[in-house]
Amino acid sequence: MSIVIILGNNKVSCVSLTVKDKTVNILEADSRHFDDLSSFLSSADGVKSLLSSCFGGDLKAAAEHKIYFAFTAGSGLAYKTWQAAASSFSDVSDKTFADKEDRILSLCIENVPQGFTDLYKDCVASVVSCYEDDEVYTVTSAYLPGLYINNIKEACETLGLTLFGISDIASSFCKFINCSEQQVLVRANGLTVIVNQFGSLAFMMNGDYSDSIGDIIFNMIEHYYPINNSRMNSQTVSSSDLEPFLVVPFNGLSRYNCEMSVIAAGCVVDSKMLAESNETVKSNPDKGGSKNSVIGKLRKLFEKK
Amino acid sequence: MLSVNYGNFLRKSETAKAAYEFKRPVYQFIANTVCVFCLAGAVTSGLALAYAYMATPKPVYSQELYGKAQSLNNNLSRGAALMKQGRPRGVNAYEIINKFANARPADVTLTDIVISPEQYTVKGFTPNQDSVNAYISALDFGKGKKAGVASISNNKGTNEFTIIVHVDEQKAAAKSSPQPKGSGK
Repeated sequence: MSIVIILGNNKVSCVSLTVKDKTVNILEADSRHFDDLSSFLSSADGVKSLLSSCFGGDLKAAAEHKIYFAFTAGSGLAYKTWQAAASSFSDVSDKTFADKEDRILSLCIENVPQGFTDLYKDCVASVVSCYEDDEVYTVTSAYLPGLYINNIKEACETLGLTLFGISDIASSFCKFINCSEQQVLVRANGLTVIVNQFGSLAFMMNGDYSDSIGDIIFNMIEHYYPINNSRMNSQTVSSSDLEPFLVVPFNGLSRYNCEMSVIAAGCVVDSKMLAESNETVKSNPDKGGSKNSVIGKLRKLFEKK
Repeated sequence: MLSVNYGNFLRKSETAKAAYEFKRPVYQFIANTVCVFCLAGAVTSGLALAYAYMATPKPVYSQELYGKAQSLNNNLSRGAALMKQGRPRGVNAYEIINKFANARPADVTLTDIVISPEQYTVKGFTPNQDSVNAYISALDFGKGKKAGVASISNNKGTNEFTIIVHVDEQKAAAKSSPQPKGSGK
């Protein structure tokens, strides 16, 4: 079982789920209000007390499960979509995966949103999506204060919890929303995420979504991605009504908050599994066995002969 | 695909480490199980070997019987050696017996061999009369020694025969004695 702690605008949700046979099973979900969440995240002790509050003091039981954190709007999260020359993403001197990772993440840090570094001394970046053109790469990256990440790691290590990942809302939407036919604009609380076949865009919004904001968003999509008439080719959906757009089935979605469930599942589910389930549906709907699976490879071998 | 941990603020190495730490009890259990299995196997094999070594029965035999068998074996060996070397009245009995035995067709059974300086007599029986002829043809003792059937009788399908090899002593002596050089000229 995996436990995902979703940190939002002074709200902390705890979702427990399992993934079996390419189906997400939401077992339990619980939310509680925390006044001034940032003060909890600003110290390791604060994170510890937040965790013990989430698990009702039973940290021993929690240590047996995989622990994930997910950040949503209003928790210090920021997004930016930026472009850079393809050549800047790799260098011959990069020998290991870690070297390549360092180079890409340092590029992300170079493109940190204006004002973010004024609020927080250091920040940590992650890549939400990347559209690779011949010459230019378009990257959407997420940013969090380095202090929060370090405190979460330290608290988990002290309490003996196994921290498997720290993710963000847009990454989860990117993983689970089926945008093969048209792009999907998801409106969540304080955030709008656009997911299309090329990548994604995320906008933090204080106010409500309006047509004028929509125009800006669609213009940006056409600027970054090879999509014409973006508004016509998109569907707008609320984050609480995502079920028809999900690439894998969810059990228990009707009982619990849809947005929360999708965010939690996005942390836990492996991208490879989603890619395989997509391929299975697209290329082999009745035969079973994706291209990369053992059965798929065997089938390919025999088909050749 | 970029070489990054997509949608995760932790590095790839950190998530790999977390996955390892999470599964470490399972790995430990497997390693311990294998160790215990190997150790138990080694101990069991050792015990089995030790038991086999300790439990091997020592041969029990009578010293008296062993002495008798040994003296009998010595006598036989000595007798065989004497028979090979012995030439009573100039007859090489060992060689004659050997020839009788080697020339014998498969369906011929010998019952008696009598060797004297004048003649060698062999008795036997066979279901096939042709085998007697074949046997005679095969018997070649050299010049001065001619084999012939002395008697043959049919008794309920079994041909009992007696073959006598006559020895012409003069010819045999001439053959055995060395010829002086130039004697033919």
